[in-house]
Amino acid sequence: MNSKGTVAITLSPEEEQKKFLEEAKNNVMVQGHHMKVALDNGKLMDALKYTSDIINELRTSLLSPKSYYALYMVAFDYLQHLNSYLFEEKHGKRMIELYEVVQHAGNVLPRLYLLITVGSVYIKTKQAPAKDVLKDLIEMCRGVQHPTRGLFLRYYLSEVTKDKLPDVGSDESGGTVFDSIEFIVQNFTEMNKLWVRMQHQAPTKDKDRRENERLDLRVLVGKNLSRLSQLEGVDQNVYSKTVLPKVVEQIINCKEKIAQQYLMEILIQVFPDEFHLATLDTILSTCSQLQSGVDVKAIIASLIDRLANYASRNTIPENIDIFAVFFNNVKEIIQNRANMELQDILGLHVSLLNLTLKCYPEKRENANAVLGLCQQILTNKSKEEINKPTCVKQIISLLQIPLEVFKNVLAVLKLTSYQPLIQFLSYNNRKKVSLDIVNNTIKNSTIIEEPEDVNSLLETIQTLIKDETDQPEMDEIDKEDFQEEQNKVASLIHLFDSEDPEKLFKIYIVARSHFGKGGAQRIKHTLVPLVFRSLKFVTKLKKQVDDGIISLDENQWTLIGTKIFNFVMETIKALVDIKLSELSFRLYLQAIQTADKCNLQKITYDFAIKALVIFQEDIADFKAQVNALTLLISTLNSLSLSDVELYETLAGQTIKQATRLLTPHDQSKLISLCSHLFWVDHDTRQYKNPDSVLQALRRSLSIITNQSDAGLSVFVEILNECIYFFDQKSDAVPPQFISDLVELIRTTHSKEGDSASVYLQNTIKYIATKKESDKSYAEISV
Amino acid sequence: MNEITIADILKYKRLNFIIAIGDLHVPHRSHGIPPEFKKLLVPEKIQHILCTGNLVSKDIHDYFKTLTSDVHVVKGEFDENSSYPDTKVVTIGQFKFGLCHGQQIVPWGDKTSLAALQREMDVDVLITGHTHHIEVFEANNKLFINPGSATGAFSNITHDVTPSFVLMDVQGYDITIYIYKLIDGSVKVEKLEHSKQ
Repeated sequence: MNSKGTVAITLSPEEEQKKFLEEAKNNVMVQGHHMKVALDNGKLMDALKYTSDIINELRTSLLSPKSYYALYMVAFDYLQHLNSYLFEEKHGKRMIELYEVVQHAGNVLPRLYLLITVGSVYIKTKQAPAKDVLKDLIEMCRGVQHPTRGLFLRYYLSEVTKDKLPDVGSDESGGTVFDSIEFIVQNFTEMNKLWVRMQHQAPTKDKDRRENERLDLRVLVGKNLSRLSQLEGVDQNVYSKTVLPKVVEQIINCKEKIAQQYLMEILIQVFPDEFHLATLDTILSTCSQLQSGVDVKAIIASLIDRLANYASRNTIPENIDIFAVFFNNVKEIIQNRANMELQDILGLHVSLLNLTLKCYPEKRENANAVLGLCQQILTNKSKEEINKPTCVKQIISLLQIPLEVFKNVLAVLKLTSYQPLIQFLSYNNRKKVSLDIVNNTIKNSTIIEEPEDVNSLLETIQTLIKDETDQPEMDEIDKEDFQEEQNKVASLIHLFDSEDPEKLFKIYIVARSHFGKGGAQRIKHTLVPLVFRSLKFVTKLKKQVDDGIISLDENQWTLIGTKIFNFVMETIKALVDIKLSELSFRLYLQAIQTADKCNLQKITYDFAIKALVIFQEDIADFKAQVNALTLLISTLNSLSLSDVELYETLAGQTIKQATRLLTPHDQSKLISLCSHLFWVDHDTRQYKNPDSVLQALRRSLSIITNQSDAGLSVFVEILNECIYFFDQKSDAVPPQFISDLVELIRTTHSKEGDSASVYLQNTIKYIATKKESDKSYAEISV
Repeated sequence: MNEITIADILKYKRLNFIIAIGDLHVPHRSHGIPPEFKKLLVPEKIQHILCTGNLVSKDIHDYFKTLTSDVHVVKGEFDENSSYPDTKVVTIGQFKFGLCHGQQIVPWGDKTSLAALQREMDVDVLITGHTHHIEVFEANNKLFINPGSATGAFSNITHDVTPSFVLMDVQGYDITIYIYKLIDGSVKVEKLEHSKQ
């Protein structure tokens, strides 16, 4: 409280810092100005005194590290000015004298700054051997043990001597690169100790702030390591024998996590990849000795990533098995660091996997070893821990990377630890990975030829194949997504292929047994392709038998063909059982055609009967009935079936179904189509029964004629059927029949505006055109 | 028929390109459109898609929609999408195109029966599928097109199906028809001309 009654102004810590810094900076600049003037006037002693005053400002304890750094930079500029003046030697003094003179400065900090300034010029002018001056200076710096002041003093030492360090090719008398290494390492060690001590400067409640402030100064310490890396004399050999052991010793001994973390990162960053490659064991064993709070994962992962990139650009010496070194060390580190986060452990696995796939693409056992280790580790972890998003992400990466790299699902399936790893994931993630596998297989069109591989693939993606205990309720699943997924799974069948028929059939049996577990929602997607593939398979097999590529006698063929068709029948039956009647009916029709082409009449007939049974019992919708019957008629028409009795039974059954349709319109329409059952005229079969053709057409016409609301369209359709048989020169339909029908339609049923009017006009136009070119049309009058 | 290259076709500037395509049967009989065809089917080059059905998967419909917004599909016997009609007439320029899958035609693919369907639909061009056999012919001054199966899907009607589709360029009363076939991994193109009378 201000006793004089004026208003007290309380400054925030930031404002306070600003104020302290401004004041100190101001003082430095005033003294600096005096110093420059003194130098301009050749008054060196005065200038040194003003310099002392500048440095005195650096004795402050009021500034945060950041502010201190800003102040240091201002002071540094003036010191540089002095430095250049001294080097120009206008003062006429010998360096040894000056070196003595500045040792009399009153306070230790100004004395040491001045000593370093003069010392650096001393080396530069070569009036003394560098190694001796360096040794002297670094010893004297011990005099300052205050962390911030000491740190900056040593930083100053490092800055002004950086271009004066003995190195390869410099004058032997000044010292060797080993003197420089000794000097830098010692400075590094001391600076690091001071830096570490900084954290103890503040009360515990300020610890976080203090640590953050401390981080601002890490560069000062790290600079020493880059200095080392810049020395030409530090080659791989010197690095591994001299530099690394000393640096590592300090890193381990400081026992402080922030320092360890930062210094390891810098060490890896500033030295070249070749050096790390040669000293992997040392670096990794250092990692295992770091404090428990150190993010070892980040250090190792960045090293692995660097070396993996290096390996992709360069050849790695054969005697170094990078993967083995990393793998063994990582394994050990994970074991020894009980508190390592699972996501970090998994992250290391991802790095290891990338490493081996980049460096040793042929050694797939390495990839398997990584997945195996991961599996082993996850076995001892709780579900909650594994299912954290950060962990799940890494596990999914581990599973996706081999797919992306191998571009071949077969190679991925060979990794024995791959599938077990999937099992650790939750339902949705297992499904996601399974879909990735399916999409990858389809995208790369990977053909799978071995039944065992098919089995292994379908087992691996089992989340998509069958119900699982942890899946969501069916009504929670997006129907469209589900269908898309199942369509993808269903597509796989087209990639299962083998030149060996026995193997291929075995593949289909394996696939059938997996898909069979899928339940109604899945088999409606997955079994249909299996039916078509089986039909394609048996068609091809028959052709190979016919062409003599595969030698089977008639009996053998019938036996094998029957076996395959039984498989087809049993597969369609599964769809019949879940009441997919229309689909099953169509599949039966497909099977009829294939069996017919394979010359298996008994089976053809069996399938036809199955189709008819479904039609009678399970297809109830009127429109569906019309569609189904239309397809049945064309199917029967297309057959080569030589057994006339069998055919006529089927044709008779078909007509019977047509007469049972609900509406007379449909009856008439379908009976008229049934005329085609009696006029089969193609390469493989001739079956011509003109009387039955005409009978069907008459019957059809009489049904529609008796309808009061007959309309026009069915009449025109019948007329066009008549024309069909007339154009076929079938003699089934007399010209008079057509003329009468046209007359009937015109007089009785043609109404303006009927949607079939155009059809009628086009038909009449067609007849008229034909009359011009085709003599047989002469007898038709329109 | 002349052999012409795809580059020849794509350099056309006035575009009124129609794709006739169908019988893909994904996933029933194939795992997808061959990549060689997908490379040719690029968005913005195609204005209309006339599809003869049997896609079967929704994925294929979505894929067509990425090529053009004007997609017409009729229902094949394995399509479950109940919004597809059995037949459809689409007018493009001076031409009326009739679209029908073709499973309704007895006998399948029969030219005489197709002619009746053309009369019924009263169209200039009749596009049907079902047989998986690509065919383009003129009859009674009308054009009949069957684009075959774009995936080369197995068929009980046609042996060893060749993947195919048809591209049409309509200019006034003329149509240029390009037949695309995938033979031994390479795309072969044939060109035909048709004029409306």
